[in-house]
Amino acid sequence: MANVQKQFEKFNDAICLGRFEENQVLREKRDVVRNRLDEKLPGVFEKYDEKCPKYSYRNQGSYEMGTGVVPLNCDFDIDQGVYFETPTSTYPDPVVLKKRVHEALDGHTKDVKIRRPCVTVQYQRKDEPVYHVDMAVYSEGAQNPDGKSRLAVGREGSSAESRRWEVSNPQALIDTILGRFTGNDRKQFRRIVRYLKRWKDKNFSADGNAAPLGIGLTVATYDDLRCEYSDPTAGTPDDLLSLRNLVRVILGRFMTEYDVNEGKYRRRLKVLLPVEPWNDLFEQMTDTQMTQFEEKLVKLCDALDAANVAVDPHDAAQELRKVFGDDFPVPDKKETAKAHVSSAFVTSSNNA
Amino acid sequence: MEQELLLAPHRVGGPDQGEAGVIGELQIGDCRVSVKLVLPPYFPLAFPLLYLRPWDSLGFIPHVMADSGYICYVASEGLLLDRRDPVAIVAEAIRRATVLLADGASGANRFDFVDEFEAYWSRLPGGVSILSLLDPGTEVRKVVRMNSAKGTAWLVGSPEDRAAFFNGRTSGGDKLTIQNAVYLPLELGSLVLPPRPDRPMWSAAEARAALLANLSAENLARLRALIRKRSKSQEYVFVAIPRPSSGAVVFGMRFDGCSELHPLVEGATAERVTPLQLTRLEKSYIVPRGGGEVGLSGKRVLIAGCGSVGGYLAFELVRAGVLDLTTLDPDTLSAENTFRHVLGWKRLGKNKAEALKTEIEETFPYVRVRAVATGLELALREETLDLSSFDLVICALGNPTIELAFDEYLHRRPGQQRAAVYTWLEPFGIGGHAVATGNGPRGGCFACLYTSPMEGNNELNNRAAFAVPEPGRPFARALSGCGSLHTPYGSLDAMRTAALATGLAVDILSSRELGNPLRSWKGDPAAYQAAGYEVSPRFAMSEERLHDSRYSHQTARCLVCGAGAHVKAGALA
Repeated sequence: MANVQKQFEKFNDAICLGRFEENQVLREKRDVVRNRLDEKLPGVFEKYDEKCPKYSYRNQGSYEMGTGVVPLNCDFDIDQGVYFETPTSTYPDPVVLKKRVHEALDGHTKDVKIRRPCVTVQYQRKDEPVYHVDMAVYSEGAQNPDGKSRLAVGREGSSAESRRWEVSNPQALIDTILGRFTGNDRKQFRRIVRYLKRWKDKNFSADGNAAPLGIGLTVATYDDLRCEYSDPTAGTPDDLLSLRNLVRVILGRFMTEYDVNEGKYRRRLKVLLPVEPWNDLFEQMTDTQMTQFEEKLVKLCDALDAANVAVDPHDAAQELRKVFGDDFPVPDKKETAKAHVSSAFVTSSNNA
Repeated sequence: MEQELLLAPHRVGGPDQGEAGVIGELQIGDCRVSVKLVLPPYFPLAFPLLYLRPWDSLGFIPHVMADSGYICYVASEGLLLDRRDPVAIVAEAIRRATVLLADGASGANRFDFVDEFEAYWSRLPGGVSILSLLDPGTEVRKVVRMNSAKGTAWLVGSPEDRAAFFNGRTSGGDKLTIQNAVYLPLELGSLVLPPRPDRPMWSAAEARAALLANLSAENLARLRALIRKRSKSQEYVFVAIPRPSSGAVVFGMRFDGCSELHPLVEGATAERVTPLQLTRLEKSYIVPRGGGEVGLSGKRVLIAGCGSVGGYLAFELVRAGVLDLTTLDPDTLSAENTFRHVLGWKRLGKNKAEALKTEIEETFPYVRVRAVATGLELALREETLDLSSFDLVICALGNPTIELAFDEYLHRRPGQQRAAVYTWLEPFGIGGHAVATGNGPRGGCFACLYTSPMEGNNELNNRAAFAVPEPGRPFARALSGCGSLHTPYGSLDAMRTAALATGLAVDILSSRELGNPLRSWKGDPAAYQAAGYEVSPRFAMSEERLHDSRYSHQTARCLVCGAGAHVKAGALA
């Protein structure tokens, strides 16, 4: 059995994107949008003879969770929550608030649009997408009778029933997920999520719902990851074993169900958000996409198995590169064949 | 309030009339007795005092002091007073005293006299003290009273008891006179009431009446054989009564002006009987048992390395009841050791092993310490140290090179397999460790910590470490050049490590630990990190995780204890 933990950790270093606090580039991009909104938003409300409600920003998404990965197409995805201090009753149609935000940001870049869960500002360089900021619009919990924050869902063209205020608490989600893991386990959890997200970016086309959602993979990992250590005394993690076990469990969770409308059987993976509204994070995927998802997971599992039985770390890493891409380092055969030579005397921390 | 509990109360005393308080009455069975309640100066931080007036209004009963009538209604140790409710404290005190007096009047607590016998005996007028090393057995026998020229009296089973107490040293030139005495162990359940302190001490006849009926038939026969001879004018008798709670009370009597017969023989008389109060110093009374099934006092332990950790460890082992130690260290105590060695600077320039021996033997009785003033590696090469004579070896060298070689020696050398504990601490107080080996059939040893379970190669990294050593950046600092290297850690860190290792040693010696665990304590990493060092992933583990993984270090790849053990042998083995 080859030991590829070092390669996994180098892979992690290559794809890891720090949290806002640690990443100045992300912070700067985030602040550009915030400043623009602060500058324009009061005027927009004025135009409609409305009083601009007080609002505040909150970081959310994978950067805040510490599970962000460097995007392959350089399209960084920055998630911001804008919390308006107004009850949902003031804006029965949630799309109105989204339109105000859209109008304030419109023209800031060529491409600002209202999407179902947010307002997206796409920043481009030479017509190449560089990064985008998703502004999720909320009604602050303290303003609502039940104390729960709600997310404005719906587009301009959406039917009345598709426009709704959906209970949403991104911080509770982060707290719940991270609360299951501490210390070395939490570090491994974050690495495993990053591996799966990079695998997703590498193996699915970026558009539409073809790829499983990152949050879906994150919650699947939250549900079923059992942290493994090759050396429990030293706390040396075994990412290969942990990931391999996890992927097997996820594959085991795909269920065959009968689709009454289509009159056929289909395979679905359901992963429920562990906080309200407890929705299935993969429900937007079509059956075809779901089939691809399962097939690709099987391939991932095969690659992890092959890496596991490889004797030489070089061979193991070659297998892993097939599914994770070129950021996964492959050590030279020479390097791995050579016995690990260290000094004949080293610093010791033993005293008495 | 007092009206409910104390009947007909009235205030007494005052600035000029003695202790101020309240006098009232209590209904005890058919009797109405008078009681005085006094609030002490720091009340309600202290218990109220209650006195029975006169002290024997209910007869001679337990827990009421003669003359003063002080009612000992509570053992104050371990109790917390509700100082915000002084009224309730007084009410509770009166309630408890009432129950106690009622039990005394009815005789329900008569056996408390036995439990507290030594206390009553010590309050008898004209008492004389004697130091006792006698281990109270269950057979009547001849015992010995020794008297030193300096005037100290000792009660011993035999003169060897005294030599053992003084760690094998003899009297030190003090001339000792010896006189035989009789030891009377009474049967369990014996009820002997102490003499009333306000009346004359027992006569010989009263003593016989109180004691002899409580001897077993065998012991009575032994006694008769023992006291057949003509009596001296002065005779000593020592008595043990099993306490209803546990253990036994022991007290003595001196009979002066004896008739020709021994005072315990029917019809004999003595002019005077003097109570003897024992200060009990026998081993079974003062040495802790270590909590295990097996006594620790007979266990033999080698402590290799008498530095900061080894020094504290030696003392703590003795305090745990391990009384046979061998200390080993080639170094002398230097000034740099002063503030982190258990001996301070008291024995500066002395060999550490010998200094520890001296200090321990001066501090504790019943210990036997042998000092070996050489290094472990030298002692083993010259075969001056036979490990088979020890129950446990503890290595606190802080030198993993020697310790790894020693670990191999312990496993390989025929006839030298012994349980061992290795202990060490890390710089800047980030933690300390103790690992066992050779305890029980399961594997696990010091060398396992230096063996990668994946690669099996013999690395020089300690897997248990909390510190991450940087190549070329030793933790040691020079106080003044190479000669005085000093690793930053404090006395408290050494002490915690010694406590950890002592706990493991005691668990092994008492068979509470049947495997070879790795135990660690975690400290505050702030100073360590401020010095620019990193902590290991192991340090990030919770205490619970560390505990759960305490056996996980053992690996079949270990060249010393595992499957690879036959591969190659090192220098010492």
